[in-house]
Amino acid sequence: MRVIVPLVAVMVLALIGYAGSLVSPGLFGIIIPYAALLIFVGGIIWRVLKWAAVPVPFRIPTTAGQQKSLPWIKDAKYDNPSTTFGVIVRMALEVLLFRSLFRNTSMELKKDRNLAYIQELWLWGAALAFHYSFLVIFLRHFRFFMHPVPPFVPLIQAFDGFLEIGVPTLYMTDLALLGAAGYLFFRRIWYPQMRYISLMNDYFPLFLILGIGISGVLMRHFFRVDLMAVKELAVGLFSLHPALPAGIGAPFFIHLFLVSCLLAYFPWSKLVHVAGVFMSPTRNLANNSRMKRHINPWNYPVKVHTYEEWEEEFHDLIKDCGLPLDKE
Amino acid sequence: MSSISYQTPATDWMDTPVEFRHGNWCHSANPKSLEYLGLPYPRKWAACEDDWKLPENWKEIVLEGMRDRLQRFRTFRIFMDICVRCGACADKCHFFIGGGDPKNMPVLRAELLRSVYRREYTLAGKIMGKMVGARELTVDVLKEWFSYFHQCTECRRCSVFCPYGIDTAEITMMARELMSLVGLSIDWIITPAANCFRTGNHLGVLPHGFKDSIDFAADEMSDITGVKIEPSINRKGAEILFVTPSADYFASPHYYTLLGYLALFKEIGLDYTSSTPTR
Repeated sequence: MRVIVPLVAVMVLALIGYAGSLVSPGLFGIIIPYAALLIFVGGIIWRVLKWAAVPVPFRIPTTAGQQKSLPWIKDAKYDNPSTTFGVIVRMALEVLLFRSLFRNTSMELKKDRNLAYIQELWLWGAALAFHYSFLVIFLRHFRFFMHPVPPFVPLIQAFDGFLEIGVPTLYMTDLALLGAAGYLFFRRIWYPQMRYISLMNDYFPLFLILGIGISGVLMRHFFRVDLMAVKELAVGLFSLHPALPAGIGAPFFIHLFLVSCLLAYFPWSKLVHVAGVFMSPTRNLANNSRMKRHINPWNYPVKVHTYEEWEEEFHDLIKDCGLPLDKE
Repeated sequence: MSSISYQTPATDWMDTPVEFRHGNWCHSANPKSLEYLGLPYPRKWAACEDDWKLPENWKEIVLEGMRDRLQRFRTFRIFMDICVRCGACADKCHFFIGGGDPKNMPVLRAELLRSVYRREYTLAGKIMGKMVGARELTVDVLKEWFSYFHQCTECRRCSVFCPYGIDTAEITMMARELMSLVGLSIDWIITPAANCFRTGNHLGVLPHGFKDSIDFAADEMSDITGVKIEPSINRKGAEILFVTPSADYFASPHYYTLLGYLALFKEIGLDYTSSTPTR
């Protein structure tokens, strides 16, 4: 159920894109993409501001190594950072190389009461491939967004298509994106624990992105569209002088509408982890509570039990056993 | 050990209620300790009973508590929004590894609280409910929280493996605070806290109790070595305040460590004193 509904939803969205291309290309070609982009940018800013408005009362970075103490004890500079530089390196390794996922292990309980941890890099590999190929594909699309084409685009195309298979040439990142996203979906339904915890909110973005990728690949290799007209539309959108040329085929509108849906859905879903990872207090704080005093911004006076109160309660007991008293 | 099954139950996790059996629940806090600390709704109740004697407006209290904490703890707010259910944390919790209960997977432990958060704080949760993993806060949900948030030791191992560092320990702390707002705490936490408040040590040992134990230990050491040892307690003007772990005067074999350092301090002439309230 949780899988079928999002799948049908994405198919319905694709159909809407198709219908839109026939009925109202102006709405689907200009107005909806602009609205989606506004919702995306505004939504992300809104989420970030909402998080930033809440204070971080305590220093709680998660550490995975030796804390800095005496000078002759080697501390884990990046796993237990005590300086801002350490935090930056840790965050960079996390965001660029998915460091935490690289630690991932799978567990096996053997018959002789032995628990074994085995390195498990499929999740790390698929996640990295997925995110990086998405980035490369996005950068390649600047061929359409800008005129003249920025110099990094032909460079990327040269590397991406170096296998020179097919005309137009098959891009490795296309395969990587679909393969990695496909694997991420597959592992979500294959492993029982993953099936148990997955929600519609997990399947929907996967199907949406798979839909975008598949429609893109289909458009490039099978159902060709008028690329010059597409470029005219795209340059118009990005230079804020939108114009809708005639004759752009339906596959393009399906692709564009799915992209617009992804942009509009982004800020209200788990995809905001893009911004959240930088703001997570367990990763972006240095573990320096022993060196620097941190004050809780909403600290309030706490009721304490003083020595005088303790002595008053047990006065007779203390006197009887001969211990010293402040007040006889 | 070989009987640990990691098979997921046939029922969906929202439809699998907790079963409180003999030995799988913690004793509830002694009302006297709660009263001493000024914590709300002290009363006698037990997890195995059906009626937990919750106050009438328990749901409002918990939800208001949640709203308040979402405004004071950025961790709480971000961790509720960021989880992508990648499952990297799933087999990292030693409680899950040792028991096979899927609600001990950190991702699902967080979902126990997150599902209520979604229902209250997200539009999709309010409209689409269970389909998007949102659920109403009911007494059964509260009971589930009581069972599972006391099966987390807040060791934070899961947080190391999470790509964003989502800390189930933080979430557990939030859930325990929310439960404590309606008087659902465990004795193992509250009574030591009340004891610390009143007597300065978590066992509630009174001044003469500590003095007698230390005197007894000193006498025993004196018998063994033939050298008279006079331990110092609560002496003003000492150079060093020596705070001994409570286990050292309560149990073997640590008891012999106590005898050892009493003798050591005498031998090196250390200017120390112990403290009856603190240890």
